[in-house]
Amino acid sequence: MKHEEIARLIHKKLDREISPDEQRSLDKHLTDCPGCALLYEEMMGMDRSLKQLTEFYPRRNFNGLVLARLGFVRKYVWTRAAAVVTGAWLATLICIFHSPLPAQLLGRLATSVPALVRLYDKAAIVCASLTKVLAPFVRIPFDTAYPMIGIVLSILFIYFLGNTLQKEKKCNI
Amino acid sequence: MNNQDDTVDLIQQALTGEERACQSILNLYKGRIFSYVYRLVHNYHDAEDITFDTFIKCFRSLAMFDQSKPFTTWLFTIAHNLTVDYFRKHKTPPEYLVEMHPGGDDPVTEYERKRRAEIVDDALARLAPVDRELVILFHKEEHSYQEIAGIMNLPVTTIKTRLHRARKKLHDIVCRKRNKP
Repeated sequence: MKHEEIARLIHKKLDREISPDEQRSLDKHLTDCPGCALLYEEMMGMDRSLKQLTEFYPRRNFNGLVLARLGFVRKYVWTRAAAVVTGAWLATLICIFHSPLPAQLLGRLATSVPALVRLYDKAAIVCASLTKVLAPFVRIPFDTAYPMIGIVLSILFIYFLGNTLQKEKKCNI
Repeated sequence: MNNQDDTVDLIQQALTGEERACQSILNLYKGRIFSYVYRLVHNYHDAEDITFDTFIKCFRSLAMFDQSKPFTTWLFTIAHNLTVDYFRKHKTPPEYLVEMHPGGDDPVTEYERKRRAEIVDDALARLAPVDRELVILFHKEEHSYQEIAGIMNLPVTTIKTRLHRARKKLHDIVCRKRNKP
């Protein structure tokens, strides 16, 4: 078989169009002809290198830019605000219940502002009334800490609800 | 379930406005499209702009896509048309990226592989844009002649002849580069 014919078969192999008979003829020739075997190896090596060419990527925020253009806008401001408020509330609670100093400071601050004293009195009256109403159903005494825990839980609930609603945001493409 | 079925599912979800499906489509194809465009225009920012426009056009006309046909061919057709428009509009000097090849176990084999790949990549850059595009679409992206004919809007026979010629040219350049000290 002529070398030109072998070169044609090598291209056919690269084209993924070589028949089993042609493959046999090619293999037979390659074992006897070092020149064609070298060409075959080089062409196959080139094909392998082309398949393994490096894949490049655009900038990291590429997806965000495309999605923003399509109308998917995430409300990160709300997420951050909810996280800050929740964190602040938890930090306040820890300070009040686990450190005597802030409690004393807060106590002095509260008694120095008449409006705060009145508010505390009203909250105490509400708690006492609730304790009386809930007494037949709840055995543990109702404390002023409960409304605070309630508020914290409410904030957490709103925070997670906000996040969930945000994830389900859809857009008409 | 094969890749085509997965892609069809993702397309259907994207059509209902699911953000996650759009993210998945972007993650699956942005590297391939960006690499393809970058190797044609040789400018990072322009390649990014063309890739961006490709995906915007793809998502906006997703409802018109015939789901019985391969999604990649359709996506590459959009990228090809936008790249042709880019070449029509302006000519810019090439700009190269710092290449990052995936790591391997054997350092010597890895070095040899890297060297070969670099030589081929450099040789590829020396081909005419159309020839380069053909070689990338056929060898790297593994599209068939029929698919490439659809993407580039050229007859199959022309593509076959040009690809054979481009392959020979690429081989000559690679051999010359390898023999250089």
